[in-house]
Amino acid sequence: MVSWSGLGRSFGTSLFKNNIKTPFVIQNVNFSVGKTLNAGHGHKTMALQPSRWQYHKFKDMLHYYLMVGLIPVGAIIFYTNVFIGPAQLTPIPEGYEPKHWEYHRHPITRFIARYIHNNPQQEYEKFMHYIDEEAQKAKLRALEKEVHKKMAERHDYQAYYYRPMVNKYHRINKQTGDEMYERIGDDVKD
Amino acid sequence: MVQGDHPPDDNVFRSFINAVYNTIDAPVTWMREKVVEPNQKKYPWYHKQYRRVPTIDQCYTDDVLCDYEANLQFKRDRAVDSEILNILRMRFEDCMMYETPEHLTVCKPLWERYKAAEEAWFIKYGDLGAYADAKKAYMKQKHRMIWERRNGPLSDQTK
Repeated sequence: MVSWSGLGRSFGTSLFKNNIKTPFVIQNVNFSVGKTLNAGHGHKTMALQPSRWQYHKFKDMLHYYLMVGLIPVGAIIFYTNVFIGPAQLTPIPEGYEPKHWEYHRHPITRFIARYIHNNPQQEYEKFMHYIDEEAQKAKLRALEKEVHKKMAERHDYQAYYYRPMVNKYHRINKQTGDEMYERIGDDVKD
Repeated sequence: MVQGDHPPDDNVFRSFINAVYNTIDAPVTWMREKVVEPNQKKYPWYHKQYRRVPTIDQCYTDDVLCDYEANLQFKRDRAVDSEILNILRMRFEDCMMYETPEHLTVCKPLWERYKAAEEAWFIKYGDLGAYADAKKAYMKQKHRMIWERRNGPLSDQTK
């Protein structure tokens, strides 16, 4: 969209322009005045100033990309507001259950509620199911913890805190001990 | 608006001010009445009616679902009550703006009604903090009743 920034350009440059026609000296620099060929009509002097090309290009790109978004969105909003329009508030008719998007006023909000978002009642029920499940798990875990505590207290149940007796290692120890006794006897000096 | 016949308004200053206002208003009104309104479709929208669910005092202590539903109902009720209080306050303020400087006597009934409603609102919802809960409001009521049993009634509304 060059035209948007171009509107300000000619005005801006004429502010900077030095309209002296003959060569002049500023701070020991000899400026010569550029002469343009006038095919018909045109500006008589060229503005001698640092390049503002990057700035103009930035403005061009900014306007272009803004318009790429703004024009379709603006057209959609204009169409919905003028040709569809917001809804009228009415009392709920007897025996009729309105759909969840019919609780919104603006057509774009209704569109989003209908095609993009989930039904709020569905979300509500999903969340309720989730907290119910978590609550049941919490109750089970609390019960387990209580049972373990009691087992630790009383040591009366063959489950946690139960050390099973395995006689295999006792037998091996005894056998080794007997063997040593047979070899060495009971004369053991420390 | 005064009903009935009145002589045509030939006040120059008023017509000038109206003309200045209409430089902006007349094209906008024309656009609305001739272009926008005929093209708009008429279709309804509704206000959601929520069913009443059991309140927090009717729930078991370990029932999370009942607690959640009672909580949401509490929040909805608090929003509705806040809006009612707002309407009563606006009524008084409109009366005051219209009736100044006699507002203290003329608007007194509205003021009394607003003050009573405000006190009731505060008894139920006040001072609960940012994370207000149905359970917290219920406990507040319990503590108030115990305090009142020991020290006598707090106000006319809690007798």
